[in-house]
Order: sequence, then C-alpha cells, then structure tokens
Amino acid sequence: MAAEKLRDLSQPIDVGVLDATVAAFFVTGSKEERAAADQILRDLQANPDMWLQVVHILQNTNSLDTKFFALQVLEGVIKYRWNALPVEQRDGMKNYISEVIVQLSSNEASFRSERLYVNKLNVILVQIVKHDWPAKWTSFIPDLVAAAKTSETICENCMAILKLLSEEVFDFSRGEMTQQKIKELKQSLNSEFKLIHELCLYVLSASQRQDLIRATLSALHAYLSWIPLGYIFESTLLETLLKFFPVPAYRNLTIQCLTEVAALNFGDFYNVQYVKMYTIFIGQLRIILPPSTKIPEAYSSGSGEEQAFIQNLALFFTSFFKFHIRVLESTPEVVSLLLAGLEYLINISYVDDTEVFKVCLDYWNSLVLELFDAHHNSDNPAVSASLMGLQPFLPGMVDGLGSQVMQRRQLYSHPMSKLRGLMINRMAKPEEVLIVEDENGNIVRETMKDNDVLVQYKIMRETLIYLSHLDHDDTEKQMLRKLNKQLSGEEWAWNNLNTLCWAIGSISGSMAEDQENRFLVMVIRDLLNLCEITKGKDNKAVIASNIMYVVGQYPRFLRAHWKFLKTVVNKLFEFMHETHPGVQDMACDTFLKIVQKCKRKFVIVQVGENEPFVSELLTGLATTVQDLEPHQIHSFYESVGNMIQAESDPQKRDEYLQRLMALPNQKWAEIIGQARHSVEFLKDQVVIRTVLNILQTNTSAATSLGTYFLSQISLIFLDMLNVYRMYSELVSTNITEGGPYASKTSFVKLLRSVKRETLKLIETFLDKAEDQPHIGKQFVPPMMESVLGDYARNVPDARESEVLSLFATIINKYKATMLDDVPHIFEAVFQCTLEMITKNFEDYPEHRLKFFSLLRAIATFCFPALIKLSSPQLKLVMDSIIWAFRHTERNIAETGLNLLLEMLKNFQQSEFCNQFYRSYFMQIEQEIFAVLTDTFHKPGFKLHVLVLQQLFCLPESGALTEPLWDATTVPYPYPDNVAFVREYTIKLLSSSFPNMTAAEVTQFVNGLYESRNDPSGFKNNIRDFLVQSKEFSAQDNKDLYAEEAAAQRERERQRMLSIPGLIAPNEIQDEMVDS
Amino acid sequence: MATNEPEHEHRDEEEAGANEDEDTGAQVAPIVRLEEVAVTTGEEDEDAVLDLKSKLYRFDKDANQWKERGAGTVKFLKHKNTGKIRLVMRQSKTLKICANHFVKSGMSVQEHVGNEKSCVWHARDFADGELKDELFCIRFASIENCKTFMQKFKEVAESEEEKEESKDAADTAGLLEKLTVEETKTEEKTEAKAVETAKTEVKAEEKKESEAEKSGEAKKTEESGPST
Repeated sequence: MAAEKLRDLSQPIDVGVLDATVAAFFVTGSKEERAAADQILRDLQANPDMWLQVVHILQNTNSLDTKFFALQVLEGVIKYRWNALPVEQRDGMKNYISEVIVQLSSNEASFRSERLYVNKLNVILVQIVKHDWPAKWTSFIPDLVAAAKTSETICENCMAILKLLSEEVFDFSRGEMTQQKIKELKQSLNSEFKLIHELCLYVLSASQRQDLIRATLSALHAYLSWIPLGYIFESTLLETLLKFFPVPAYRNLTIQCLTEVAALNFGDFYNVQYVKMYTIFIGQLRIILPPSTKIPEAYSSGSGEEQAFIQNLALFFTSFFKFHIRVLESTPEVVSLLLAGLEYLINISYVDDTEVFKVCLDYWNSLVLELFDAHHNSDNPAVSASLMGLQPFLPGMVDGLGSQVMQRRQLYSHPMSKLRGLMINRMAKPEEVLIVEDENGNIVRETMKDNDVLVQYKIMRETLIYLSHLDHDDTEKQMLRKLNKQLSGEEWAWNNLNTLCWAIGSISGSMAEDQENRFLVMVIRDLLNLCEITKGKDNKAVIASNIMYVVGQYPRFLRAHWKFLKTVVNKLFEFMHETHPGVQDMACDTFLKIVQKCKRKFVIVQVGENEPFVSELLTGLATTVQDLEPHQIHSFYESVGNMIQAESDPQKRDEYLQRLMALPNQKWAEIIGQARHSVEFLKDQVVIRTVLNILQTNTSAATSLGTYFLSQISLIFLDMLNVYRMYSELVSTNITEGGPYASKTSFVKLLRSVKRETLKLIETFLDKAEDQPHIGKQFVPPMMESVLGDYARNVPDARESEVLSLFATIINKYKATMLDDVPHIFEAVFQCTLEMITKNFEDYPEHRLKFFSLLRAIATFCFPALIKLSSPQLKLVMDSIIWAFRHTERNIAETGLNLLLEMLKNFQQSEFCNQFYRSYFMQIEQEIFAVLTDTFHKPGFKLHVLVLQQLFCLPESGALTEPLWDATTVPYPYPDNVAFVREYTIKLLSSSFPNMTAAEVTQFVNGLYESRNDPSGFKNNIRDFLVQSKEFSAQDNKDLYAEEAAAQRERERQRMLSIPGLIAPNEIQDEMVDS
Repeated sequence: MATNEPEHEHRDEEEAGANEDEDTGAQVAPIVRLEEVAVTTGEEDEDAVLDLKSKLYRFDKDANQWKERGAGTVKFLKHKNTGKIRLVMRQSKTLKICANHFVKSGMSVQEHVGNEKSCVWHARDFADGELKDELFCIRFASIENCKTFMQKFKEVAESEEEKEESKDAADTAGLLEKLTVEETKTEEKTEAKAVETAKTEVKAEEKKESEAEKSGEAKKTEESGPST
C-alpha cells in the first residue's frame, strides 16, 4: 500500500499520500480502507518524530482534515513533551504558528473562510503560552496587543486568543496544572492586564464592526471575574458596557459581562459605582422589557436569542442581589429600583424552564435565609412586646437593632409575599413510595431514588419554611386563598391541587402549635368540602390522597387530638377496602407514616375509650386486611408492629404480638403440619408462594419490633430452617440437573426467594435486637449447619449472597462474642466465594459486595481470629483485599479500602507487626499507587490517601523493630526503614512514570515524608503528583474533592436542625416526642 | 288593719270636726299601687371563680394618659351551662359596671413596667353598652393579689384556647368521617334510570297482552261467521 511509505519519517512526508489517507479515514474510504487508514494515522500520531513534519504538512496540504490531523499531533507534543524539546525547535514552532495566525487573520476573506483552521491554531498557541509564558515568552501580551492594533480582523482574532487564554488558565486549570503554576500564571496575567484593558476600551469606543465588538465583549467576559477592580470601576468600562446593553446585537454579551461584574465581592469601596450601575441598568431594562411584560409567555414564544436573554437576566439579578443587595437598601429612590428588580426576578421565576428556575431558586433560598437569620436573632420579647402596641411602657427598646431589622422586613414584605406565592405555585414533588416488581417477580416497595426533582423539593421546602417564619399569617392566607380557588373551580386541576398540598405539607412544624392547629383545621375542612362537591371517582380519589398526605405531614396535630387521629386511622381502614386504583396503597403508606410518629397514642387507654386502640385493631385485624394485597399487608404489619413496640408492659406486648401474628402463624402451622405428613406438599408452587408471603409478613413485623420480636421468631425458627434446607436442596438439584438456564426458571426463582427471605428475616431481627448478646448467640448454632453448611456444599449459582450479609450483620452486632465462630464461618464461605469472584470483576456482583462487607466486619471486631490464620490463609485474605479495591465498582472498592485500613491499624498494634509488614508493605504500596493513578478509581482518592499516609507514618512510629526489606536479597543494609521506604518508593514511581524526571519524583516523595503528619498537605501533594503524571488531564476531577463536600453537608445539617420545621417532623429522630 | 282602722277613723273625726262644712262623706282609694319588683344583677347564672378588690384604669388615646375607671371588685364569672368565662368589674357602693368582656383565647395580660401591683391587657369591652377596644390597667392592694389575677387570667385564656381547638378538631373529625371516594349521587341517578326502564318494560308487556286479546276477539268473530 502506498500509505505505508508514510511510516518512513527520515525524509519529508509525501503530503499527497497523507491527504489521501486522511480522506480515506474521514470521507471516502470503505470500511476496510478506513480501518487501515486509522491504524496508519494512529501509528503516525504515536511516533515521537512525527511532530517535526507538521510544518511541512501545513505548508503543502489543502485538506482541512489533514491540517487538523497535523495540529492534533502538535497539540499532543506541546501538552506532554514540550519541556523536553530543544529550545531552537520550540522557538521555531512558536514563531511559525504565530506567523500563520497573523497571516490568515490579517485578511478578511481568508479569516472568514479559514475560520475553523484559525480557531484550532489559536488553541495550539494557547497551549504553548501556558508552558512558556511568562518566564520564557515575556513579550507575549505586548506582542499580541501590538498585533491587534494593525487591523480589525487581526484584532478580532486576538480577542479570541485572549478569551481562550483566560479560560485555560482560570476555568479549566483545576486538576490540570499544579497549584503553584496556577498562582504564577494568575499573577502574571494580572500584572499585564493593563494592555489588554486599554485595547478593549479602545475597540469598544472606536470600532463599528459588529463581529469585532462581539468578540471583544466575549473576551472581556472571560476576564472580568478576576482582574483588579480598578480596571472596572475607575475607567469608562462600565459606562461603555451600559451603552451597549440596549443594542440587540450586543445585549446578551453585554449582560454576561455585567453579570461578571455583579458577581464580584470585595468589600464596600465601590458601592457607589454599583448603585449607579444598577440604576442605569434598570432604567434601560424598563425600556427593553417593560414591567408589564408577561415574561413566562414571552419566553415560551421567544426566539433562542430572546430566551437566552431571559436566562442571562436571571443570572444578572441573582448575582447582583447576592452580593450587593444591601447597597441598594440605602436610599428611597434606589429602594424602589431594588423592588423593581425583585419583581423582574419573581416574574422570571415563573418561566417554564428547569435551568432558569434553578438559578432563581438558589438565589431566593439564600436571600430568604439571610432575612430569616436577621429576624431570628433579633426576635426577642422586647421587640415582640412593642409590636403589640405597648409602646408607652417601653420607649427605650424600639430603637437600635430591632428597629433596623423590622425596617428591613417591612422593606421586603411585599416581594416576600409574592415569593411565597411562587413557592406555593411551583412546589416540587416530595419523596414518594413506588410499587415495583423485583427481578424475582415479587411486588416490593421502594422509596424514590435521589434525583433533581427531590433536590428541588428540598430547596423549595427550606425556602418556604423560612418565608413562613418571616410572616406566618401571609403564608397561611396565600395557601388558604389558593385552596379556595380549587373549591370555586377557578384553578381546579390535579396538578394544581397536588402542588398546593405538597406546599402545605412542607411547612409542617414551622408555625407555633396553636396557629398550626387552626391552619390545619381550615385546610382539612376545605379539602373535605372539595371532595364532597367534586364529581368523579378519580377526582375524589386524588383529593382523598391529598387530604391524607397533608394529615400525615402534621404529626404534632395528630398527637394532640386523639379523636381526630382515631377518625383518620379508621378512615384509612375504610380505604383499605376501596378497590379504586391506588387508594389502598395510599391508605397503607399513610397509616405507616402516621403510626411511626404517633405510636404511643395507640397503646394507652385514651379518654372515653375502653381499651387501647391497638387492642381494638387486633380484634378486627382479619376484617381490616382481608381486601389487601400481600405487599400492602406487609406494610400494615410493620405499622402495627410499631404500635406494639411502643407498649412498655412486657406482658401486654407479648399478648399483642401473639394476636397480631395469629393469622400467619395459623397458616404456617397448617403448612408445617401437612409437610410432616408428606414432604411433597412443600413443593407445590402455591404453597411456596404462601410460605414466602408468611416470611415477608414476619420480616415486616420484625423491622418495627426489633428485640421484642423474639418470642415470635423463636416460635417458627427451627421449622423455618428445615424449610430452608429442603428448598435449598431442591434448588441445587434443579440447577445441577437443569442445565445452564435452570437458575432462571420461575420455580427456582420462587424457591430462592423463600431462602433469601428467610435469611433476611433473621438478619433483620438480629440487626434490630439491641444489647442482647445472648439472643444472637442462641440463634447462631442452629444456623451453622443449615445455612453455612448449605452455602459451602452448594453449586455456585445456588449460593445465596444473603448468607454473607447475614453473618456480617451478626458480627457487626455481637462483635467479639462471635470470635469462636469465625473459623467456622471462614471455612464455610471464604474459599468457595473467592473462587466465584476472582475470575473477573463482574460476575456475582451481590456476592462480591457482601463478601467484602463480611471480611471487613471480621477485621474490625474479630481481629484475633485473623491472627490465628495460617500464612497461606492470610495471604489469601490479603490477595482478596487487593482484589477488592481494584474493582471499579465503587462500593466494593470502598469496602476493600476500608478493610485494608482496618487491617493495617490492627496489625500495627499486634505482636505480628513485623512479620505482616515485611510480607505485605511493598505489595500494598505498589497496588495503592496503581489504583491511585488509574482514572477509573478516582472516587477512592480519599481512602487511597489515608492508606498511603498510614504506610508513610509506619516506619517512624516505633511499631517496627525489624527491617522491612529481605536481608538475603539486598546487597547492602539501609540505615533504617525510613530510608528504605523512601528509596523503594522513588524507584517504583520512576519506573512507572518515565515522563517524570527523577528530580520530580524525588521531590514528590520527600514532600510526602514532610507532610505525613499533615493530612491536608499530604493530600494536596498527592493531587499535584497526579496532575504532573498527566493521567488526569482534560477529565473531570471533582471526585478528588469529595471529602470536602461531605464535611460541608454535615455542617449544613447541623444548622438545619436548629430551625423549627427545616428537618421535617417525620425525620426527627426523637423517640419520646409522642409521649 | 285593726290597729290602722281606729287611726283612720280618728283622722276622719278630726277632719270632720275641723271642716264640717267640706265633708263629702266619700271614701277615697289609693291612686297608685306599686308592685314589688324583683332586682337582678345579671350574674345569677354564673359562678365567681375570682373576686378581688382593685382599682381600674383605661388608657385614653386622645389624651395619651391613663384615666381612672373605678374602684371596686373585679370578678371572673363562669357560666354554669356554657362554661364561658367573662371578666366583670363593678364600682363599690354604686355597683356601676367598669369593665365587662369575655376572656378569649389569644388574650394575654402583661405586668406593668413601673408597678409590681399592676398589670395591663387589651380587650373588646362592653361596659358602656357598646363594644369598644380598650387598653386596661388594674392595680391591686398587694403584689400577691396581682400575681393571682394574672395567673388566673392566663389559665382562663389558655383553657379557652384548648376548648376551641378540641372543638375544631372534633368537628373536623366528624367531617372526615364522611369522606369517601364513592359517587353517591351518580348512583342515585342510575337507580332512577333503572326504575324508569322497569316501568317502560311493564308498559310494553301490557301492550302486548292487549294486542293478544284483540287477536282473540277477531278469531271469535271469524268463527261465528260460518255458523250464520
């Protein structure tokens, strides 16, 4: 093939042949030709000498694709090998690229026609600049500015280059350049901005070319967020921008620039300028977009440019108000403009666009929080008293801070009122329970996964709660008014009603109790009226669901009014017989929700009652649940279990439990009785399904009863294990005899569901039982043979991963008391599970996860058992741990790393420290560096750092009393383990990363040693290392900062707990609150 | 009457003696007879749960100063049937009403800033026979009495609140009891239609029977023809 000649780079490349090859790949080639061309091009790209041909290619080809290929080669060289090139070659390339750019952009025609090519050349130039400027190319900025003044098209292209430069240095630098480099570049660009600034002002004031002005505004936009403030406020820049704002062609670009200025926040020095800027802006905006405009409608019918303007307007207002709203509160004239701006923003918030709404919502949340905090801190008896008109007695208290805060609240009261309307009108959907079918065909309940809607609900709920605190009465009035519009039919629609009820439910707990009670009574009455006057069963069902949702959101009211609570529950029982779709599920879910928050109310004898409600309920239990589906019955049993758990009298509690379980136990006894006569009875599919259902009912009750479930599980435990064993044998037989697809048949699936549910029931009970070691101990021995023995004997496809999680739970729960059983557990599950999961990273995902969880539990609580392992066994454990954290599956990798940390810590403190670390130290270090530098393992960064830190602290900790190295293979002794580890690490990294110099590696390793006791310094050092190693270039590196984000979330939660209503009453973990 | 009679006669004699020429001899009946009138205070159906001596002031907004309303006794009166409690203050001796209003949920009483024996509250008062918003101040002879009054006031207001809430919740519970997703009216309409349908069927059957009879008669006529 002629193209093969291209591989010979000893002479200038044949450009014609290259053009043909590139064309074959991109345009003309058949499938085979394209593959061959691809291979050749890849080889060329990988050839270290290819870049020397770039100039030759660019000068001789007419193919744009070929030019891009050449530039791609060049870009790779610049990014990764630039500093290794000779100075002459670097200078030559730099000059060539610059000249081509100037040549092409100096001519209008060539600039337009070669636009794509010029853009690519610009990118190349910026890559060079990032390396060479300012140290080696000190004249870059002056050169650029000088070139820009020679012609308008060159100037336009220079603006594009400046924009790229700013973006590369400031927007995309995180994770790609070392922090030292970032700081250096910023300082240089900062100090040389004067020239850029002058150029921009000159262009904006003198030029008439639309494209040039647009390019200049774009470039300016990239700089405004970081340049010294004087360039903005002490020049004509702002005035110039505000002049361009009304012009349609420049409007969006201008407002983006203004938004960057608005987002600056450096003290109060330029407040006057901000007020002036805002005043002019609003004046112009009123002309562009009259206040009477219906923005949501304009948005939906507008052009792309017009929609972009609305989006930019939202960003401008939110940025400006976020940092400078205080400045606008100073004088009455400016205040009216402030209110006008808030009005615009509220109108924009009604736009039907998710992104726009998010921008607005984030701002509203922070504004309302700020107002609330001020209000919250100043709300004291003196101010409250003065509000009640007792002024004659408190003349001295009104002035000062209280007065200030009140004025501010009054200033914002109207916008806040409108904002309440917005939140109520657009409330997002809260978390809900979904009814789904799992992989085995069983109906199960699942809570909705976290998603955008749920996040939005949380923010809106928080915002509405703050708004409620600022003015409870207005909140109440607006909600009741909207409810009246539903009643009058003016706004009747399912979605409107749902949205309103979500809003009403979201503020639960934020009002004082008496006000909340009155409010809720009015809401419920109106909803009941609505249900009565509305026609259609579907409509009535929707309204009833909303009534129950609202009621379920106000547990405080329910606890305070027994008669109402009882009526609600009895009404739910009625709905449990209603066959209209969704009503039964709604009733069961609401029942569970209410019982969880009011359970004690059901076990005491209420005024006017003869017996506790739970007793009455148990009497009519069979009737109540007769129309429910199995999954609904399970939910019901969990609810009643919660009630029984709240009973403090042990005798009554046991009686209630016995009555609750009478139905399933009777059925269970029947089945077991029949099975004693004939084992074949258990093989019937209907019987199997019934057994499964009974077990699931028990699991539901155990979930809520915990320790108190003991008597019930004792009753059925041994029979349950017998059924387990029998079904397990059936599964094994079917899989062994049935061929490769046997495990997928419905019969086997059903049997395995029973096994899994058995294990889940035991696990749930043991997990919930508190401080009762003897309980766990009494249940473990019978399971050794039935469960563990079964697992060991079974064929791989028949092994239940639940066995692993069950024993992990047992060990986590009972800790050291399980020490003697660990060898048996190991013997039964370790080897055979390892064989299942070490062939690849994908098969048996459940087993992988649970296997390592079990191992971690053992390492944490039963560590002495690991010490007793033989050397081959321990090696197997260590190999499996390394295997675990090499998984790309995040959960498994994390469990493996945590397990490793546990092992390192425990062995360090044990008598086997020396032997362990001599055997495994080097291997662990090597493996950790391998995953640390693998892009698929970035989520584990935090744990990788912890492991390395532990390893680097070890040599000096005093725990080691013998050398880490093997004296028989090392020719000369090291002074100590510290020196050995240092040298070993340097060798390891140098051989792994040839692109880094020995000096760089040494510096990195020394840095690790110096910062080993400084966690954040240690981490930053590793981050810089990852950047230098180039493994992470051009990729999303936010996972490297995951730890900081988690700490922030915890601080946020603590703050929320201190404000009534922010943590929903249903989520507050206070067991005594319903006494 | 026996004793009165002689005096009467005696007076008659004197008059007859003094004015013999003027005596008409007629017996004169009294011109006006007064019936005994029952006196009521308006408190007969109420129990006093608090009764203390005090002096009452009201705040004159126009003059911007406190003005004395009266000195006497202040009472909390609880109605025997309704259980409602009102505050009544009467001036001693004259029993003129100085204050008269219900104690409702949401009302509260505050200590007077300058005097430990005094306290103040807002009320909609009916003492003068019309409803007025008033700011009252009351002063007692001792600090203990003042505290007693304040505590009682608060207790009453709170119990009113609880009653109100309980009643609201009970009423709402009653409404909730009737909640249903069933379409009762539609079912009634359906029944009505069913009834109408049934009636129509009945008529149709009657019509058929009638026609059958007519056919029978026609046959008879035909049969009698040949006989003739």
